[in-house]
Amino acid sequence: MSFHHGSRRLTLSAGGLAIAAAGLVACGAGGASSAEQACGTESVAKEIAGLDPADREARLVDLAEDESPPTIYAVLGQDALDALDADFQDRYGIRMNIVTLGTGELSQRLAQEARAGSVAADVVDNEYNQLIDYQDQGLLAPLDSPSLDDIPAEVQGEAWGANRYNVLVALFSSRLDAPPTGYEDLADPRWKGRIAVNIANWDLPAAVSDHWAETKGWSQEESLEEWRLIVQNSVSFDGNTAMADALEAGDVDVALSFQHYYTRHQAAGDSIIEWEPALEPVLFRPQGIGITCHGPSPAAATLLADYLLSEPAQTIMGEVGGSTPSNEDIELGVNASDGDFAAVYAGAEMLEESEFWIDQWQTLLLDAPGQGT
Amino acid sequence: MSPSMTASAALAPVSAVPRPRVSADTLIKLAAGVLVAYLALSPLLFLLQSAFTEDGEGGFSLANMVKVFTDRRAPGLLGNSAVFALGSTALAMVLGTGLAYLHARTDVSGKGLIFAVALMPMAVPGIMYASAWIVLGRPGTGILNMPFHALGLDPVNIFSMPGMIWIEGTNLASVVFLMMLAAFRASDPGLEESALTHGAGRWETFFRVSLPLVRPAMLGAALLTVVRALESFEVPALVGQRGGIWVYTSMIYHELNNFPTDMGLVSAYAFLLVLIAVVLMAAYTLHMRRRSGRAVETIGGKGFRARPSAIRGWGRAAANAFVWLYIVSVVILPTAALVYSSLLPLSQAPTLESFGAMTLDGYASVLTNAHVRTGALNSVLLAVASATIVMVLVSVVAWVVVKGRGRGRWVLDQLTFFPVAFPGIALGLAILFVYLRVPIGVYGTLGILLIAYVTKFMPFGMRYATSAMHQIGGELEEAARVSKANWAQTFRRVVLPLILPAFIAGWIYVAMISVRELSSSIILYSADTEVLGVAMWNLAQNGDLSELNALGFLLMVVLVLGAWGLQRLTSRFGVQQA
Repeated sequence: MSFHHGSRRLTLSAGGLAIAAAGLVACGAGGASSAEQACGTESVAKEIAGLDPADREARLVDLAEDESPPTIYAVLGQDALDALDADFQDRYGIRMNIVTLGTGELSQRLAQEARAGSVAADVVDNEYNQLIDYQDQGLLAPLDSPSLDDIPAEVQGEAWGANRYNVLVALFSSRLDAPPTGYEDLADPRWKGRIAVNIANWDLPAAVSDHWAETKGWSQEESLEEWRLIVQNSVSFDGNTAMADALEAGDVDVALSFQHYYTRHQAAGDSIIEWEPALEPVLFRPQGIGITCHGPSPAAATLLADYLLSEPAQTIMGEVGGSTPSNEDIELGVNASDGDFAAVYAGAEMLEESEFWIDQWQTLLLDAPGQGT
Repeated sequence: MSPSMTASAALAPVSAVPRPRVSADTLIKLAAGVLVAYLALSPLLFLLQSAFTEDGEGGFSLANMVKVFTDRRAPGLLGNSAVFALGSTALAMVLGTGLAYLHARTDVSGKGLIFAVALMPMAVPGIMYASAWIVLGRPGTGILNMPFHALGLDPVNIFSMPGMIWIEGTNLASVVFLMMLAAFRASDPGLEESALTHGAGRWETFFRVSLPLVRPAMLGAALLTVVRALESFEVPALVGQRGGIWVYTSMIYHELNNFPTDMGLVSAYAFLLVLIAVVLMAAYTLHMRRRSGRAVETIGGKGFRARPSAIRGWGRAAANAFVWLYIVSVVILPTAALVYSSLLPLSQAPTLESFGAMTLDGYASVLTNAHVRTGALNSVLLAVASATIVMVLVSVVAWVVVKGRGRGRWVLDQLTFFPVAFPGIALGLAILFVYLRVPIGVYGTLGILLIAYVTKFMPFGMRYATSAMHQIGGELEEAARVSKANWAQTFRRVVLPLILPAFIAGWIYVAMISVRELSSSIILYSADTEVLGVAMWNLAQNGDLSELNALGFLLMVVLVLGAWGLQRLTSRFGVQQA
C-alpha cells in the first residue's frame, strides 16, 4: 500500500470521525430532560414544612451552608442586583452568583439547560409571562414562601411570585407647550415622528384598548384603527433605555416606556422627562422570581427566593432600581391607590389575549408606512 | 547485519515490505483539519436540527424555512439586507484599500498616525460606534446638523440606508486596512517600479499592476466584509430600526425576544445567512482556483525589499487630503461624540448648558467598577488565547488549503468560513447546546468562551492566512525540502516568517474583536467569567450611558495603543522596508 493511499484513508477516517462526533453531540446524545424528573427542592420542602418563618429561615441557612452559593439568572438591573447581593451577604454570609441576561436569552439558556439535564440556575428572575411559561413547562419548583402573604394573589402562581412591577406609561418632554392628554391624542398628526414605541410592549395597546372599551365604548376594530394612526406617528426603537435616551436628547417628545426612567433620569441630573399627569391607563407589568426544579443548590435557592420576595429586597429594588414594589405596604415607585389615574395590572387574563395582541402590534409596527420593511 | 540476515532480506517477497508509518507532519495537518471540521460542524448541525424540525424535536420539517420565504416581508428583508451589505462592503474596500496602499507603498506623511487611526473604529464596540454616529447625525439635534439650522436645513439623517452604510462601512474599513496592508507589504514592488519606469502613470500602475497583485487579499477582504455586514446587529438595531429599515438580523433579534420565542424560526433566519455565506464562499473559491496561481505569487526565491515610492505634486496633495478626510470624518468626529457623551450624566444636544453639566463622574465610576475590572481581566486572557490559537490553527489549515495536494481541500476552506455567517447569538446558543452535552467540564468556565471565540473568529484569521499563502511561491519550500527539512521545519522556518505580517495582522484583529465581543458571550458567561462586553451591556441596560461611553473611550485608547505598539514591535520581522 502506498504512502499516499494510506494517508488518504487516514484523512477520510479522521474527517468522518469529526463529523460523527459533531453529529452525536448536536443530536443531543446523553442527558435526560430535567422536566421529566422530580424537583430537587422536595427534600428541602420536607425539612422546612410547618416551621414558623424565623425557624424556617434558620434551617435554610444551615442547609445552604453545605451547598454552593445560589446562582440567579436575572433581567433585573446590575446595580439593584449588586445591592441585593451585598444585603444578602450581610444577612446570611452567603453570596449570590449573578448572571444578568435579556428576557429572550434567559429563556433560551434555561430551556437548553433543562433539555440537557444540566440546569445551572437556582433562581430565575424574569417577566411574569415568561415565569408562567416556565411554570407550565415544569421548569420551576412549587413556591411556598411566607413573603407571598404580602403580595397580591393576582401576581403570583404555583411556582412564581412577583416582587416588583415595570410600570408602562407615556413619558413626555417637559418642554412641550401642550403635553398629550390621552393616548388617543397621540393619533393627531402634530405628533408625526415624535413618538417612540417598542415592539416588545404589546401589552400597552392591549391595556389601552380595554380602557377605551370601558370608558368610550369603542370596539376592538376602532381601537386598532386608533393605534394604527398612533403608530404612523411613531418611531420604532430596539429597547426601552434607548427610548428614554432619545426623549432626553430631544429626538422625540413622547416615549411609551417605563416610569422608572423618569425616576432614574431625575436622580442623574436635570432631566426633561415627565409622566404626570398620567395618560390612562397606567399599566403595571409584574416581574418576579421562581426556583428552578433542578438547580444545584435547592436550599440556598429557597432562602434566596424568600429573600427576593421580602420587604427589604423589594425596598432595595425600589430605591436603587426605581421599580414599583409588589408589596403595597412599601411606599416607593408608582402607587395606584395614591395616584389620580386608572391602573391596569397585567396578569393571566391579559396573557390569554397575548397571541392576538402580539400579532396585531407587530403587524402595525412592521407593516405601517415608514416602518418595518 | 550478518551475512545470513542479508541473504534472508534479499530473498524476502516484495509484498512483505513494511507499510510506511504516518509521519508527524501528516498528523499535525490532520489534527488541524479535524479540529476545524469539529468546530465548524458542531454548531452548524445544531442550527440545522433547530431550523429543520418543529420545536427542536421530531422529524425533518421545512415549516420554518417556508415561514421565512413566504413571510410578506421577505422581499423587503432581502432587499434591505443586500443593499446594506453590498454598500458597506464597497465603502470599506475603497477606504481600507486606499489607506493600506498609501501606508505600504508611498511616502505619505504620518504613517504611524494612519495605522493608529485606521484601527480606531475597530477598537470601539459596535454599539458605541453606532451611538456616536447617532449623536452626530440625528435629524434636528445631531451635532452635524446644528450649523445648518440657521439656513433652515437638516441635511444629515443617520437613520437612513446611507447612514447605515456609512457607519458599517467605516467600521469595516479597519478590517480591510489590516488585510490589505499585510498583502501590500508582502508584494514585490519591482513590478510596479517596472511599470512606472516604462511610462505608466501612478493611477494606471495602481489599477493595472498593484491591485491585481493583491487580488486574493482583496477578494478575501470583500468576502469577509459582505458576510460581516449581513451578520451585523448593532447598526440595524440602533440605527436601521429607527429609520424603519429592517434586515435579517433585525428579525432574528425580534423573534428571539418575542413571546413565546420561536427558536425554529430564529434558526431558520440564521441558516439563511449561513447559506448566503456558503454560496459567496463557493464563488470565491471557484474564482481563486480558476484565476489565481503563479500570477499573484510575489514572494519567491528571489529576495526583494519593499521601498515606499515618492508621490509628488497634486498626487501628494490628493493623498494627504484623502488621509485627513478619513481621519476627521471616521475617527475624530465619532471619537469626539463618544467623549462628549461620556462627560454628560444625561443625553443632550450640545449647548452652553450641556457643557456646563460636564463631569468626569462616568470615568471615575468605570475605573472603580468591580464588574469592569473582572471583565477586563477575563477579556484580555481570552483575547490573547483565542488570537494565538486561531492564527496558529488557520496558518496550518491555510497551508493545507493553498499548498497541499489532494482533493477536497476546498471543503476545509468552506468549513473554516461557516461560523462567520452565524449571528452571534445563534452561535452562542449552538455552542451552549453542544457543551451542555459534551462532558468535558467547560460549561460555566472561561473554556466555553474560548471555544466560542476560536470558532467565531477562525474565519477572519483564515482570510489573512490564505491571502498571504497565495502570495508565496513554491520554490522556497522546495529549496527547504531539498535541504532535507521536513514539513514542520519548513513551515516553522520558511513559511511562517514569510506570512508573518499577515499572521500578526490577523492576531491583532482577532485580539481586538475578542475584547469587545458580546453577542455570543452573553449566552455563555457565568458569574465568574464575566467579560468586558457583558459589563458594557449591563451598563447600557441600566441606562448608565455616561459610564458606558467612558468605558468605550478608554477601551478604544488602550486597544489602539496596544495594536500600534505591537505592530511597531513586530515590524522588524517579515519583509523589511528600505
